[in-house]
Amino acid sequence: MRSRAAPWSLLGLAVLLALPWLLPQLLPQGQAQFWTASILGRAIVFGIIAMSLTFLATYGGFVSLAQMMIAGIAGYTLAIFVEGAVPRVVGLLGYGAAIPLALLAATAMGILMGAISLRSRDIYLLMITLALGMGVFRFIETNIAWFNGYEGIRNVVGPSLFGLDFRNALVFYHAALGTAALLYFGILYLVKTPFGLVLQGIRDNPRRVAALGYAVGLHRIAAFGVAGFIAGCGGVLSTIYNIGISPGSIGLGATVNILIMSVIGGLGHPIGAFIGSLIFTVLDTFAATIYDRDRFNTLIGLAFLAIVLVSPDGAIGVGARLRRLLTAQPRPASRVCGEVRSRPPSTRTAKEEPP
Amino acid sequence: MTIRMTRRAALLGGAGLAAGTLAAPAVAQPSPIRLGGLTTLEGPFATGGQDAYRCVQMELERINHTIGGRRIEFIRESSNAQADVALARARKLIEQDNVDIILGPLSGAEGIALRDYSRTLTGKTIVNGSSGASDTTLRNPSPNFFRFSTDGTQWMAGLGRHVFQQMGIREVAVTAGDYAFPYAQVFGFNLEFCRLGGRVQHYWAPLGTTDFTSQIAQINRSNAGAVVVVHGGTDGLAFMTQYAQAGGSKPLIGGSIMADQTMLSARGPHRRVMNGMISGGPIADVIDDPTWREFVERYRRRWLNEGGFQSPSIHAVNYATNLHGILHALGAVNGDLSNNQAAFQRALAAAEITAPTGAAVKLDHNRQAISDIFLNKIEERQGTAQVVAFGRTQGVNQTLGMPEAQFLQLGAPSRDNAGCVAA
Amino acid sequence: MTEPAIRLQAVSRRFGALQAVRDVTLDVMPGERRAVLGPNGAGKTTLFNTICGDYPPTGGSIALFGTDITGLRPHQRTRLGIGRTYQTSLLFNGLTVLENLFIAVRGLRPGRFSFLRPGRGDEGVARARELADRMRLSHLLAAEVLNLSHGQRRQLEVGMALAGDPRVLMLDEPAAGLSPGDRPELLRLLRELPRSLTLILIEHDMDIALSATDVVSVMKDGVVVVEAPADRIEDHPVVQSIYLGSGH
Repeated sequence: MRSRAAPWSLLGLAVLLALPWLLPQLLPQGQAQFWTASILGRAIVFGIIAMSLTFLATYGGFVSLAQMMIAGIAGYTLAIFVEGAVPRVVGLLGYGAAIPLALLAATAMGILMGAISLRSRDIYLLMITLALGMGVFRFIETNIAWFNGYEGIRNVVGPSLFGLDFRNALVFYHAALGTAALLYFGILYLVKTPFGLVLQGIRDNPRRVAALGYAVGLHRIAAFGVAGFIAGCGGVLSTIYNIGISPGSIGLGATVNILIMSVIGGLGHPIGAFIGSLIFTVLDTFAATIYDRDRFNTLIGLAFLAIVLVSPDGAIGVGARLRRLLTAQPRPASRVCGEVRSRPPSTRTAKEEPP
Repeated sequence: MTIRMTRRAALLGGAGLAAGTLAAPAVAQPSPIRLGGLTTLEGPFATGGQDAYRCVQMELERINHTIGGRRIEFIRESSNAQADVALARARKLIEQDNVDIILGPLSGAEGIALRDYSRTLTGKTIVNGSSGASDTTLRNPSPNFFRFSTDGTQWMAGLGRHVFQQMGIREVAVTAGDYAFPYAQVFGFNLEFCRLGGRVQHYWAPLGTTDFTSQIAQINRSNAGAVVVVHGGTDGLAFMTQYAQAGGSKPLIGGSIMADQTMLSARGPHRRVMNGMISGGPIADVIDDPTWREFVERYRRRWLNEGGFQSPSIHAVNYATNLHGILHALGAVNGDLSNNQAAFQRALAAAEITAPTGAAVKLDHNRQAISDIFLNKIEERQGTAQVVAFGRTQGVNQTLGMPEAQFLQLGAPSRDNAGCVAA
Repeated sequence: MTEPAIRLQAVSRRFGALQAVRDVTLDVMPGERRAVLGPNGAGKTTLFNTICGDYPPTGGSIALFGTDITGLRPHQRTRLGIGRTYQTSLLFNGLTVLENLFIAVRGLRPGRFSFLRPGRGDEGVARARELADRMRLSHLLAAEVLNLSHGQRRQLEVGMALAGDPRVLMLDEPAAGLSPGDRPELLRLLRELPRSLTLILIEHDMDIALSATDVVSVMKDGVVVVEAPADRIEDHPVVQSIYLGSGH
């Protein structure tokens, strides 16, 4: 309808699609491959998981810290059921069946998270989702029979796509990019459907949504289900990228990393997740080269602090700020540079609404 | 004004230094060999990782960073003991830093992840650091992954036989953590002990258990002639403390990570019961071997004033052993890594080296170390408890002498598959 | 005899120690226009909230056209035909006028839970446009609600409450904060409402309240103290003392 972001997104997508052929013009061969596979590919995969958080936060006002765990559920489901994984837990299915099963499991886990956290909001929602995520993490880490404990399940090499091997960096990059693009445009589509509009209604004013005849709880749970599906896509890709999965992939560190990506990218638009994950991946990869290897985490921390201080609404806010500075216009209530909008400023007083 | 002068001087100096380092490689004829290091400088094993780099640096300094006429450039990376982080760092080393060989990683799950990654590479080699999961080389081995260090099952070699034959004990109680590493160690102990006719009662406890009192009461009531303790870290300390407080008097047999300086240097009643404890492992504080004495001496000279320990840690020794394998093979091919490292990898597979402990090391067909394992006893020496090697089992392979097919038939170690099979 | 549109029997609502609504018994007949007046804190809005289900009553029963709705959730009551506005506009600030109205329309239609965008000829969108037209908001369809003026927000509030074709429309101070210029517009809107619609109105502006309604209930301290036809209420002594006397 009136999405200004869509044409830019399409242009960005075209550039990203062509990047594996553009980069070798600029960089030595090995480096170009490293950038496509290990920087951009990884950023896209984690961007998808971060986008599931951004989706919930931007359109529903829910900050869920369970998204990495949900991605892990997809990864573990894939690893448990797919043929060839080591150790073999079930291992009966091909990728064609195991991947849909993994996505189903992640969606179900998302719905479960939504149902459990139904009555919580704000900091309490954050805490309950974090607690659920850590609980599942601890369970997986100590369960040998299904999850092989601390060592996890290895050798999830990925399918062959139309005769192309998933382990080929180029094939993986384009598969990840395609998935990310489908999900991204899917979200942009979804937020203009009745479901998406009502979700934003719940963000702005849950009471009114109920007064209009909607079951708020059902919509909330469904939104968590959608986010679970998105996280599941990221989980499947990251498991194939990492050739397997172990509890560390869904632990506290990984969970916080997803939150950091979302926040530094900006919680105003789904694209922020990918910008955030790209910044994160680049810093995470090169900080040790730039700075003392024993203490490079300090550099990463400082960089993130700087981003959040300069632009509280993340990297996508920087663009909007620059544009405003250049055009010197008063700030419109723009959706491009939005933070998570909370309920409108309350003018309620005690006399109107008894406690 | 003075500030400005100093700053300019610093800038000039910096520029000069930069020019110098840039110019230097132009003089050397052959290009350097790029060796990537991967260990854990973050997370639970950070101290072990730091010590590993100390020994790697020390051994590279000893040969002046040169082998077969080529310089070795060492590029250090760090993970946090998580498989996916180790994998991301390894990819960076290979793809971005363009290293020829990776030395690492440190922990089990990381090792398996890198083994899988190495299979996707051509013309690159990964040599283990200190990771000790059996499966890394036993099942689905990768042709590009080499391990000159021994695994958790191997570390128990000789212990079961010693308990049965020398100590004359026919029944033991095994108390162990309920996760992969203790499974492997218990498996190694049981394999020998049960084959000789010994009986074993198992007591499993999840990682992070703090209360062992009911378990200890059961053990003290049982007919067991000794207690085999395979717990890690604080769990081990908790068990030992409570065992001492409960007046436990059965002889103690320890897993490889029980006889550890972090445990021995902690104060408390556990030190009394641990005195005299027998254990097995790839190193000890005191080994009556000139190679080891010389290594420890060099280590102390180099690092004691820069944060090093009294004696190098197990991780440091494992990294050094694997580095020795790399250097030996590089020397054998005269630094030639051409032809997708084919000659180099052949030389690695054929390498016969001596570990810093004095143990002889060679590789089996899975590129896994066959080496010596020490039988150790904890003794008080000059007021401090030390791990002293009193025996050595030579040429321990990954299947503890069992034919490989038969060993694989037993399946992977787990709490339901603890290796207690009669002969 | 016809069932009352709304029948309250001994309805109470307590917030801890505060008895906000006390034993209110009230019948509003179908098609009736009822104003609820009273000073601040009299319990008018709380009464509204118990009827709409935001705060279920702590005592008594509520029936809608003869159906007991005491235990139903807000959205279930809405589906049975109650539409309402809020004293403070509760709009969806991040969405446009059209989107706000569209959500309001879809809430009571099939497809309220749909993952498909409305098509070109969508009935719900057409109805939302029609409502915007009726509320004189058609020129602002694509404007974000955050940027609307206060008067426009009040108009949108009423439009959204009407979207579900309610049988009972409950307006909580629709004129609050309106400029004198906006008030005739609101009055015109109220007068244009179909006669079949039952209307319950909380209002401080006596002119609007009395010219838009037939019957007036006056509340004080949680109790309905007077019920009288609109044209006679101004002369009532109790009203003069508690309401007009204390001002607002």
